[in-house]
Amino acid sequence: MTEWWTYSPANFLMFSARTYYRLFERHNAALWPGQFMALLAGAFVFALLWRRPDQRTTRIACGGLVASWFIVAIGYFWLRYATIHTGGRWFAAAFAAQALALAWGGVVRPQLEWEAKFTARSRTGLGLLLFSILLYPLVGRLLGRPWMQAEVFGLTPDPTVLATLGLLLGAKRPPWWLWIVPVGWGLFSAMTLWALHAPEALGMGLVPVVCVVLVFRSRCAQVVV
Amino acid sequence: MIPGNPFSISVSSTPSITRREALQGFVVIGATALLGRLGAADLRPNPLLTRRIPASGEEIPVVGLGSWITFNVGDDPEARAECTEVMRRFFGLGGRLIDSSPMYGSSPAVIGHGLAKLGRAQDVFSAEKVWTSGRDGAAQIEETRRRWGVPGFDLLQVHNLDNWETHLPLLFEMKAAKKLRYVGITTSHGRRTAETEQIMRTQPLDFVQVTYNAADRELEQRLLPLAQERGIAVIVNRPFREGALIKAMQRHPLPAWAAECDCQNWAQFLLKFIVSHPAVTCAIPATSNPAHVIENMGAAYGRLPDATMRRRMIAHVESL
Repeated sequence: MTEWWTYSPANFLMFSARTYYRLFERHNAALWPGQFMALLAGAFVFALLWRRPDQRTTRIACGGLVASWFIVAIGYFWLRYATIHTGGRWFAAAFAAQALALAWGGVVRPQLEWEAKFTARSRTGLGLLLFSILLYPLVGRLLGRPWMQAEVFGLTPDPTVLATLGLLLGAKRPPWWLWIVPVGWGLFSAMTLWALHAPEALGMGLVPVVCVVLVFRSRCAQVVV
Repeated sequence: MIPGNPFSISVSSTPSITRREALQGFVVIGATALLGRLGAADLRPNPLLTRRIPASGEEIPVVGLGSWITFNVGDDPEARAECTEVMRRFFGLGGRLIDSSPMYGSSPAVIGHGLAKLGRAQDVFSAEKVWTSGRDGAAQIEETRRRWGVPGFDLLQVHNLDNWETHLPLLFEMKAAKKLRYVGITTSHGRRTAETEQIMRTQPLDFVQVTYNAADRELEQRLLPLAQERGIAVIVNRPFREGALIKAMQRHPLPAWAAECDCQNWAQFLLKFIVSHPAVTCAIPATSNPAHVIENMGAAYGRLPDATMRRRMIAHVESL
């Protein structure tokens, strides 16, 4: 790409806001009433980690996220997003890869574990998990979009990514390679939303950065101690 | 039309204007009037404004239809129906040239859907692009042709000059084999102007597509005069800066003197400014709104601004 400095996020936007949100509407219609099952599964994961944060519950939570990332990879990116974005199938591959990474690092060879006693970081992670599962579907409605365009955890990318960031934030020493896709998509989605003039762009861009900073600071503190 | 000037505007005396197109003049004025944008005094017949393609003498309407973002609606049946309605009105008002690219996601397929629904595959002036960094241009062109559902393209352009050294020979070869009528290159946002000029000077291009509007006029200095000198038709993209320019203008009332060149709204004001440049062949505003296509096509009818009026338009836009 020549004269790259003349480009802005809006130059890469391939679709209108209307087309983007219609995608969620049609996705939700196709999966109805799967939204309730996804919400119940998410609430179950949250309750597990809230009541007894340990390796076993972290493993179960990871299992739920593995399914979510696969559903988003195939159901959303491959079948829907790819119809309006030339990179849609690459995103599907990235989300499927993240599902496999979570399966390996969180279920098969568990390297994720929440501390039994809540810390400030794990409380923040739990809060993010709660927000992404129960509150994120309300964001669109509060911004004036219809219910049928709600973005639901486990079925659409942004709340699934936020929930995963929450899980990683609350874990003791999450492997670095589990951060790549969630942080990458978070920043990409923030740029897309920014170009669409969607107010949630700021939050979507800030959350991954804050999570990485918090984990980095926590690791630095451990090294000093 | 000024004899001998390939860039002059054609009016009803030219053989290319059919009775059907003349009738379409009534239709556009009538449709706009119904939308409350014209007074009774404006209800008069107007010929469709066309420009000659220097390479062939063929005439095309001065307003075409772009498809970047607006036609990329995927397989959404509701949105596809709206795009088809946009195309129906566009053709109904005399429009012919539709521009797209493999980079525009589902836009080529949505255009193909509309053409099939309307039975207009034979009428469209199809302007497509090749956009690949590899040597698979021919395969991409064939895939895009299949999505449009047309027997062949009228115009193929190298998208954003990407890999033009590879693609231009292929396009010239297709033209020589009569599988393609015209060859062109595109750029936008005023990028790679020097390289565009160099290609225009050295390659036998039929078309060049560039960004030009009342707020982006750098090309008036060199590139547009060069196109006139070399006999290259000019397609203008981003006439409204993807809507930003027209939104900025719509915060202000349309000046009364705009009526002197039959501009009834800001869309026509901005489009008539563009197509009145003697080097410009066609502007390609993109919309998915059927009402907007009527406004846009209104710029292909009535009087165009002369040089004095153009200066006044520039001063007015700059003052806002």
